[in-house]
Amino acid sequence: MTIGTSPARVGSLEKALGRARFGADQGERGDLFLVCVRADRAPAVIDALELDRALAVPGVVRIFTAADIPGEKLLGIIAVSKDQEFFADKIIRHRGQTVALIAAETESAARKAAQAVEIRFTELKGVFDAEEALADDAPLVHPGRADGNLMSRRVIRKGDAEAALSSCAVIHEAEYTTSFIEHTALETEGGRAWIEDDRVIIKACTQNPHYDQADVARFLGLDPDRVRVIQAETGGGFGGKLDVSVQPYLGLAAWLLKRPVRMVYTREESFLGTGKRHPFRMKCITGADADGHLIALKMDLSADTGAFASYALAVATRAAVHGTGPYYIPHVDIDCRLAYTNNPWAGAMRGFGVPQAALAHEGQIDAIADKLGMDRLEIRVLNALRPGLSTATGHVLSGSVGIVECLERIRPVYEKWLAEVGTSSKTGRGVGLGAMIYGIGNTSVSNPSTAQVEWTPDGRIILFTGAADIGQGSDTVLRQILAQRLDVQPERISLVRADTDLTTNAGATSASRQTYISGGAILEAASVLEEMVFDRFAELMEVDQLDLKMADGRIWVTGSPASSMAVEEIVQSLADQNVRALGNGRFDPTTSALDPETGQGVPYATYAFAAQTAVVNVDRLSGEVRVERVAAAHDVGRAINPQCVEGQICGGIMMGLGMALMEEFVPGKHANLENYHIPTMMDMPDIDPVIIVECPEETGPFGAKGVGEPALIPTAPTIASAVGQAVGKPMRHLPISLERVMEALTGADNED
Amino acid sequence: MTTTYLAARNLEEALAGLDRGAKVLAGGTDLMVHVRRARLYGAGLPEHFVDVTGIPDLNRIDLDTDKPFLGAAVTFRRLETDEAVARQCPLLAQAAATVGSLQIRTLATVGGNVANASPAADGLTALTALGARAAIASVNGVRHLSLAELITAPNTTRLLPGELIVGFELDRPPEGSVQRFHKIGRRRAVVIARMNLALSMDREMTDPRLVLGACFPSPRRLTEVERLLASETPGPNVWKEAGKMAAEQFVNACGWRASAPYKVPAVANLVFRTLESTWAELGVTE
Repeated sequence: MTIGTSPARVGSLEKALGRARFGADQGERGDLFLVCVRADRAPAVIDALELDRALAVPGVVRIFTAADIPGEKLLGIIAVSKDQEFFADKIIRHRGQTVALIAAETESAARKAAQAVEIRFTELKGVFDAEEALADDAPLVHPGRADGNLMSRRVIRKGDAEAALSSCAVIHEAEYTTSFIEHTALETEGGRAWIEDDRVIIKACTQNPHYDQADVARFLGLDPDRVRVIQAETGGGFGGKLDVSVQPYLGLAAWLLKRPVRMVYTREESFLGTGKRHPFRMKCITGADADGHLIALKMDLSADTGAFASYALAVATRAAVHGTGPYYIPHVDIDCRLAYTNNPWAGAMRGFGVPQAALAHEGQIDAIADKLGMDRLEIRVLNALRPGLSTATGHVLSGSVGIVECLERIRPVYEKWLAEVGTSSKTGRGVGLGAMIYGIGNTSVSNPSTAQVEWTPDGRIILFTGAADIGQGSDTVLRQILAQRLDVQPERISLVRADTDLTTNAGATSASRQTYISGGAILEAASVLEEMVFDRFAELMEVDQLDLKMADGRIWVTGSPASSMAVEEIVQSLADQNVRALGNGRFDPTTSALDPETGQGVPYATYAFAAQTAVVNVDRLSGEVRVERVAAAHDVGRAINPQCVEGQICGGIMMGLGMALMEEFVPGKHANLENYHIPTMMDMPDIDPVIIVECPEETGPFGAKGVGEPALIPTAPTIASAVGQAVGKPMRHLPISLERVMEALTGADNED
Repeated sequence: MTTTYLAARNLEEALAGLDRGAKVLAGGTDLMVHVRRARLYGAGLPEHFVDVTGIPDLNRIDLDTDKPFLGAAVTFRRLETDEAVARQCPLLAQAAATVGSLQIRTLATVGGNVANASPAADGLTALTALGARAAIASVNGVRHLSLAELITAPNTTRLLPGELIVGFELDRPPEGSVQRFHKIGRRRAVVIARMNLALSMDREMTDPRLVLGACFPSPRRLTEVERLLASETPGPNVWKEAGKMAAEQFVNACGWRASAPYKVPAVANLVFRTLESTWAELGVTE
């Protein structure tokens, strides 16, 4: 068995020895260095760009502006909302937007020149808050747009929430807010581009090489096959490397100058020039009957998507679809609106709006439990989704629904901690609980992965996958899936990965989808390959191919292992006929479109579930919060590599802790890690136990679903719930800073 | 343009280098951040660096005397782990342990911390409680300034070009003193203090010292509170009053700024609790 074990991760030795070359490490002597010139005021009209002083800086080769773009000016990850200007053209829409690009012989010359560009501008009236942006008289971020500042909207209507609320025994109404969050992947964005055979080659860190290829080609006005994108080793992404960043600049400069160029964002540029997590405002009314059954939910969600759309359509839908959490609620009315503002743009970040929604649905269920005097775990079990029940979108679940098991497996830990800590706010300690549901793969759209598997006459097995491993471990896991399927050792399989010339599209490394979807494509590719060699074996041996077995590199007729043949021999005989033993595979999970009026439909083929619990200690005099312990139970379908799953869960908890307690990006205030705080190892709680729940998903490879984003989602609500217990007041606004805790402790918060 | 780096072996070499306009490199955990930032805006490297961390006299920890002395190039890691520091000035050891991370503490020096003059500097709060006077050398000789004299505003000192802090003369706390340092931060490591506090006192309240950092342009002794402690019968009411006075001093000095809703109760609470627990440690029974 290969799956369910944790072999050493692919590439870990190279990384430990410092030999792996990340996007930021790309480059050769003599490359030009590129630096963006970014606006520090917005919105504004550009009256003039004074480039003479910058051009006079020794070493400067050329300065590009919007006028130099050979192809389409507007790029974007979602085909129907491409609106992002990689060079501001007349109007600067957000602080940090690029107005020009310096190409120079050295990095210092490029940076000096970037400082020497003078942007002459006239400031415009801007809007910096989502709700203000949606008001009738708000300044328009994209003037002339039919929907004004409303970028995206998702409505979900199931049953009759309004009427149902009027008959509920208990109702809870509350508002929750979250902040902009920066991904802070360890590696900032970087890469290199050069020209080869009149084609542009880009090697950069990315989560999404085939999308990069398509949008860079559009930007340059070239056919996609004249752009090759190779994923460099990528030091984390968390959604921040799904949109293009340096790639269009690299492609433009290399193409127009016909010279190799490289570019690496500083941490400051990474803060200014890449997407953020959407800040949400969530107004909720939840109703339940006297026994604690959730009956109705009304949610009014609004979020700030900044100056450009990026993933706003997906985030609006994800947040709305997941608004109920992992609970059955018969009557649902959710309205989620994302607004353009003149803030830096928000895009994908681990969970696409679901971590924000989870703060609300978990806060609401805690409050309902408290009002009814019910146990917080019992009420979750009572309402948890089960096979046969429907989600907010009317998707009747079947098969893999592990939320009850997650809650039951976390129960002994939760009850033990609760017995130790109690529920009195006088001790300054509190135990919290949080749960989540997360749809695997993109929402209600086709999002296939493709892959190839080849067996060569010299005995090599090659896996071709377009999936970008960004540190999460897809190389390791996908190879394990193939090894299991072909019954060979994983080390025997070599990988060709994420290169648009050599691999086909696997879709983005996002939405927790690569294990499930690319794993499915690889299984199909292996089946096709197996059928080829079985056919040939049957031909050679004159046997019925239905009875064949393959294991450990040999094939035989069931019951006659003595007359086996090595796969290589069969592959060689195919090669003799000029046939390559190569299987193509494709997998696309079954979904359906959501009704535009009601949001009803099947957004995902499968869902992951999780429950977490935490103990926090609040210093009642200073407001400091120490997360002491966290336990997690995650239904991943099947853990292909348990160590990778645990790694994701621990990392997700760390990121969730940051979201809960300290992370808040304020445009103009936070420029780098000097004052934007993320957790250090010293802030990490004891994470024990990590419970892997396996409710197999029949459409998943060996039952697997996904864990990348689910790892993070329950953590912030769990910590918020625990802090609420410790201070005796619900904590509904993230981050739970020193100031917010002090406010709760000193009674200045009069909301309740 | 080239940059020179001189690892000074003695004070004379260092002062000669500084006389030529070199930047003092005393660990570099602040300096290199400033240098990097300047380079992002197109500036070059400074022309000369003088590394003073190898000068023996600047690495001296001489506390078991009537005139305690602490070399300016002593790292926070040494302060955190040195036996004499733990015995003679425990608040300094406690403060050192809260600075940055192990990696930063291994490089960062107490003299650099003072010269950088951050309002939130943990070392500065601790040294202020210990009555530190900086010994400042230049090719023209040595002069001494108290920290209050040395630091005139956030990140601003009276150090003249060519001058180098060689170390600090410290007060000897009264026999039987107990010392405390406490820091509040937004996380548990690599964090600038939201507030820090140093306290030294004995049972007789001979010479109580209470210093609050990150609340004023530079860490400040709360002399009115110290007088209160010395004059009143110690006990919970006095601790409470002391907390209130400390918070008032913060508001009087800084006005009711955005941070006040947090800092006012936090200062009062922190002062109260530190006094209460330190008094308990002194073993005084009511």
